[in-house]
Amino acid sequence: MNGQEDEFARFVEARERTLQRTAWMLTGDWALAEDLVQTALAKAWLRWERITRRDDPEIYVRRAMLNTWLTWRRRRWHSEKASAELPDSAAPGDLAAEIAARETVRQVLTRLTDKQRAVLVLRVVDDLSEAQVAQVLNCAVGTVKSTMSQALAKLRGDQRLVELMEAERR
Amino acid sequence: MNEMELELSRLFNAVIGEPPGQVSVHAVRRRAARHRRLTYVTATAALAVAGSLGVAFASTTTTQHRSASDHKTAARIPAYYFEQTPGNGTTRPPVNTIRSTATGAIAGTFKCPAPSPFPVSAVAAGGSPSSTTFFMACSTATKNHPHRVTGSKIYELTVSRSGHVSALKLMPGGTLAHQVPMDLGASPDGSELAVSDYVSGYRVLVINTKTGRQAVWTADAPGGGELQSLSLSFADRGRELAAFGRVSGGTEMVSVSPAWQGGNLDSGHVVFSGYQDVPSPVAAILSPSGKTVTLGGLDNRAGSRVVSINAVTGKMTRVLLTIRKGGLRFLAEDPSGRFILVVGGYTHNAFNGWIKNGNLVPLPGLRGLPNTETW
Repeated sequence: MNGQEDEFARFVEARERTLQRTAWMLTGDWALAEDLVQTALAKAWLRWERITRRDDPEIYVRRAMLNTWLTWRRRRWHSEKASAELPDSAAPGDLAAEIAARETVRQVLTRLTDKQRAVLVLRVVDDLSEAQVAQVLNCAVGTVKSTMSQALAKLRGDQRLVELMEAERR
Repeated sequence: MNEMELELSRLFNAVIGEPPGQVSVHAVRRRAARHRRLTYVTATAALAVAGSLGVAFASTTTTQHRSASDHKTAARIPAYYFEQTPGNGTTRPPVNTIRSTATGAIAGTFKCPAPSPFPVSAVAAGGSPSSTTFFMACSTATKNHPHRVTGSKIYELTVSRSGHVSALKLMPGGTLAHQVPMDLGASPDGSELAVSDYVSGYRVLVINTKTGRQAVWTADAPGGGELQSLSLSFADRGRELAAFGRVSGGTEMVSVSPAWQGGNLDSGHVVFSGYQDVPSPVAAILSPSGKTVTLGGLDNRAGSRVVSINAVTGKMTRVLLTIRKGGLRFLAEDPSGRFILVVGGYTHNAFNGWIKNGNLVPLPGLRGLPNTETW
């Protein structure tokens, strides 16, 4: 293995789970999320040397992921919705409530436009700064702020989400 | 972030849970190679047959759907785990077993070869996808005075994916005079082992498990506290040693790199200190990549909580498990860092399993609390 391969392997190992969670927030389905992350990482690997020389790999991979997701959304098959995956073994805890919460979040997110959803996920789940979100989305920081504000306004009015947040607070 | 954003962050991190599959670097490279081949085929076909829509369609659809073979290289749950069942203190001594994760079947049973009645005091595991090496610390004593500890020895045994258990052998550099290890932490590949002990002060030895070479890390602090857990990770700067323990006024994790150099732990980087979501931490492990910390302990509601913390920012990224069955005793990560084993509760209401999508999948072996356990 040369240095580039090592570096890429370390990047994948370190980031794949975080990227999958981000991808789930976009797609609402684990299989699609894994597919999306693999596609984005494969694109990054083909240009890895250039990315590490000129760009930030984190930003590049997220941008590739978002662009791929938007491309998928434009295609017709995006209307296909996978159902929630059932657990394959008995487990303690209120599993039904957890699946219901996940489903609620998924449904609430569908109320947002693609751009609002992307900004929200990058800002809230990935914890990127407004400047970094702007860099990923290739737009102005002001646009990020206004889009985030619109997204939050929509979410604030959603009673199901408010109830979930209250439950989480407790 | 404002209040609403913070609340959403907490909610989303709690709700999303754990990805069920792993994206491996091999699968990514295969996909990239396929993408490259298909791009070439598409370009050639486009040149040869103008308007060849069939090839273009094939190239888009094939890159979008994951092939079944991509799953083959994903990290798999460890096939076997080490468990020490408690004895009754008199007639029935503790038993060390290697059990199947799937069925609980015992693949091997062994006892410490040294002439001492004391059981394994600490255990750690490292390895590769095809086998796991378990490291165990056994106290030594003289035959005439079996209860007088004279030192300790670290033994290793390997369990293959198919269940073949090798003979127990003394690890190179594993003879430690006048010391009883309190904790062990193996590197993900099992090539190095961190051992903590107390000899007029806390000390961590990093031992090369092939050559026996040792590096010594001392600690002035934790002032009046204690070292609780050790981990060895691959970090950008080389092998990183992370020590978690109590210090005056709370808990903290310190990391030093490169681990084989030795020195003073107090000069290390503080990964995080104290944590409000887990007010009484019990153990913290740095992931094999060195990017994430798994922290477990008691919460404020007589239960236990395991969370994931970003090792760079020190901020919590998500809650991995919340369980209302008493206090966490210990946790262990498998060599891939993907599967987390948690043990806690009380003898008649114990929990002993691994975390999957925010839930605990019970291990099928012992019904009760083990003395120690790892995978």
